[in-house]
Amino acid sequence: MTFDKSQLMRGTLEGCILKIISEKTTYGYEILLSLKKQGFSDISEGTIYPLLLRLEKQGSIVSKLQSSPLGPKRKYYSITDEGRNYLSSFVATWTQISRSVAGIIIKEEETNNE
Amino acid sequence: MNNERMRSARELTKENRHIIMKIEQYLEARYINEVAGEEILSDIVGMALECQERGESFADVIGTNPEAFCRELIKNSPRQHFHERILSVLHWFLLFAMLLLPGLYLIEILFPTYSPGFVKNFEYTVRFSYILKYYIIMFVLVIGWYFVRMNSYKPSRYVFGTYFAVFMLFFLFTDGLLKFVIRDHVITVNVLIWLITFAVLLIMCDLARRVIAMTIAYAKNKTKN
Repeated sequence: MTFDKSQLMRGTLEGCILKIISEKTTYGYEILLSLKKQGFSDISEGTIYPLLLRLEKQGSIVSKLQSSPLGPKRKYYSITDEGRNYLSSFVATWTQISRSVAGIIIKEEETNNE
Repeated sequence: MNNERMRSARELTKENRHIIMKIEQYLEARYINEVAGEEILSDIVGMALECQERGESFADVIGTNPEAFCRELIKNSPRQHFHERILSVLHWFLLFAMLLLPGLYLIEILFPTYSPGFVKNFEYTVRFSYILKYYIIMFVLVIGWYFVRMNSYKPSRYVFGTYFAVFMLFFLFTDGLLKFVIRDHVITVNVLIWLITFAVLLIMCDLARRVIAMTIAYAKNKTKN
């Protein structure tokens, strides 16, 4: 049995999206491209749109319609003060968890190698 | 905004329009706030259009489980206020009620031999039980309409099968019930007045629903800023 990635991704993806928006005001597809560039290969706009809705609902981001060269108006997202607080608490939590997980996994591997 | 969505929707391919129609049906039957629902739909139409421009498949964007995608959307959207919910069900009842009596009146005119009443100008005279029967059937139809839309991702054979079975059961039940229980009267209705009354009620219902939906959406935006 292989590990179900979607469970693990759900929470972290939200933080990553918020981080990308915090760097510059951007729109859905551009966020997707940034994520893909960093190695999130099997996600689509369909994955991130509900997360954007959620971030917007909780007040972490705001959206604004602007005209685009392609088709209808495009929705641009930017971060709010509330969002910055949320992001920094995500980063703190993530740093701690990833350190703990890395500590355990690397230790396991070392004992396996011995 | 609605007009803009309709205009862009015309540029969608048939396949994508079908995908979006199913999402729309699902969201509407799950009591999502009307204004929020419209915003989501125009976002999705925009997404589909950009996909078409890039030559990508919109079905891939939504993923293999569109129902799960819709559930995610619903989870992250404001729901309808209780009043809005009642009014959106009432909308369908009023619409069907408005059309049903004139429908029976038309049948009377077109097939007088097969219908039990009679017609004089706009006055339609018929047994009360006959009208009641069709209203009970209409009631089941409206509920069924919601049932079908709520289950737009279930296999349609199963959904329509259930719908048909329940419908037939009610049909036979009301037929039997009305024959034995109701004391019958003959009533006369002016179809024109009927139509106008229900049209006014329908417009009032829709206006009220819109006001409530916008109040909720506005309150959402206010807390956001």
